[in-house]
Amino acid sequence: MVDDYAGGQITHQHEYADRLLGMVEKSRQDGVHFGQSLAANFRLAESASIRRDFSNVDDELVLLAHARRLEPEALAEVHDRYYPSIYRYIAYRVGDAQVAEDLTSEVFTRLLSALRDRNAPQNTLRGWLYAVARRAVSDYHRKGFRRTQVELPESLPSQDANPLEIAEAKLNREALMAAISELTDEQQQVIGLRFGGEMPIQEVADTMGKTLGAVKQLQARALASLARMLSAGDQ
Amino acid sequence: MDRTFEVKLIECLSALEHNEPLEDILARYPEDAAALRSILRTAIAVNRTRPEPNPAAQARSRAAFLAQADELRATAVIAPQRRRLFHFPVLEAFTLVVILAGFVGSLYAAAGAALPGTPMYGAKLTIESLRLDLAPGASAYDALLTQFADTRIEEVEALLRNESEADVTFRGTIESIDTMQWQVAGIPVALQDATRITGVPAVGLVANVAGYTQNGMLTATEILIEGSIKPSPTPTISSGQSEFNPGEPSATPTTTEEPIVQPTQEPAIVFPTATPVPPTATMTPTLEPPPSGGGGGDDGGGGSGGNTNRNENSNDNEDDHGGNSGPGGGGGEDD
Repeated sequence: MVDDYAGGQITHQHEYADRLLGMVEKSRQDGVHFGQSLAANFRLAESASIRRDFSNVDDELVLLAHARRLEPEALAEVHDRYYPSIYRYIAYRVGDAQVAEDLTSEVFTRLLSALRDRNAPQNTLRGWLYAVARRAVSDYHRKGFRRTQVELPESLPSQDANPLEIAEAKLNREALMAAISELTDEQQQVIGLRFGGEMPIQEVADTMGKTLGAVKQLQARALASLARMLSAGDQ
Repeated sequence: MDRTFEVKLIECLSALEHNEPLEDILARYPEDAAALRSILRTAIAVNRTRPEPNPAAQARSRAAFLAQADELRATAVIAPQRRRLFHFPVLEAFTLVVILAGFVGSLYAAAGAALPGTPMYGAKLTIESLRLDLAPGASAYDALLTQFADTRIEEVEALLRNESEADVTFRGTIESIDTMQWQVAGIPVALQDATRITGVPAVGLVANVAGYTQNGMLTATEILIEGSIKPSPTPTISSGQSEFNPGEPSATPTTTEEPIVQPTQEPAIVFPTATPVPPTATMTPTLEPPPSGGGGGDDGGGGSGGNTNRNENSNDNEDDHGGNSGPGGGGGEDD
């Protein structure tokens, strides 16, 4: 029964109330009813205004609970933590930096809408963000936007690299991103989640609702297709 | 691609992710080495060509996101108070109107004895909330909280005496602990298998109890213990661990005492640096300096860190298969 709660350090009395409120809220959603006396007991939670550092909070549910209450520090941590991987996932799939930036911002805007409408993710924030990112990419493609010339900024050119190497690198990136756009949707998903989102393959499988074996197969086929396309383009 | 080759490819990709040198991997299947080399090099290239967000764009996105959240918070602050007025059933709403008409004293006398689960209990809580809102200062506020906390205990005691059924919450000091029953603030609290306890229980600590009364017994469904919550392992993959380490579970507990910047920091794919691509291959390894900037959340071992390390070590030496390459290499190389 005992369940240590790894949600970061408690620094103020009201945080106990926060925790219990979060647990009670979840129980309510599960159909368990609690007495209204909870509100009177834990008014401290509403009056306290302790600033909290969430950068060390590794429990996604704790971060999500605070983000659900629109706490600025928690929301900032959510953005800082997930923006880069969401951006990379989208960038792999759309191949354009500006579009990727816009769509990534859109993902976080949708998160706020979900929080406002009380449709916020319950169990996993990262999985929810990637699902929204996938829908944003699908919507973008559905609107018929053609893949533009790839202009994804990555590393700055090395000071030691000569112009030929820089141009070669750019060309290779462009060719690679163009080739990714030719993959199937599922193959792009795997590439985006594995390489962009840096997800372990099991998590990719969970996110896509597929078996581990199926994802490994998708990854292998995606990479084989890319190699084939790039090889053909090289010739 | 035939199935046999596909199986070999999947195995080789897995080996690559375990930092095996490329030539060692290809040596397993010399008859397919050329085809496998092309695909494995492509995998390396995809990993090394990872797009990184523009720091300025990320900062703009963050500012806009937080500004939108501020606006949302401003409207949300007003809404709950309004909703509270209409949250209760009609009887309580009518009761609130009576309060506003100036019958606070008589109304409180009527509702003051209400117990959880009775029609007037909502009015009682409403009055308590109003009293808290009208408290002239912090000490008066805290005194009221203490008074109301005592009231909660008295209500539970009354429910138990009457053998009434109701959902309850209360807060009190743990006086004794047995396997399936505690005593909190003088109230026997029965536990069941589904009872969720947060924190490490100990006599003398304060417990916040939520549960229900039935047949003269209080059964707890949630207990939150103050002053004892400690960081404990959570099922995340820690910095530097590869998901493919033989014999290790894919999710390894970590302690929150070690700051972890990302929820998962293990390298998704770690590839060795490659030798110059032979004519048949399509991607030429390039020297890439550290990226212009990664996300804040990734600094501890995400793509930017990994890129840096790969670049610094990409001397086109396939035998260099240390832990400095690949995403999350910043975390990995710290091990």
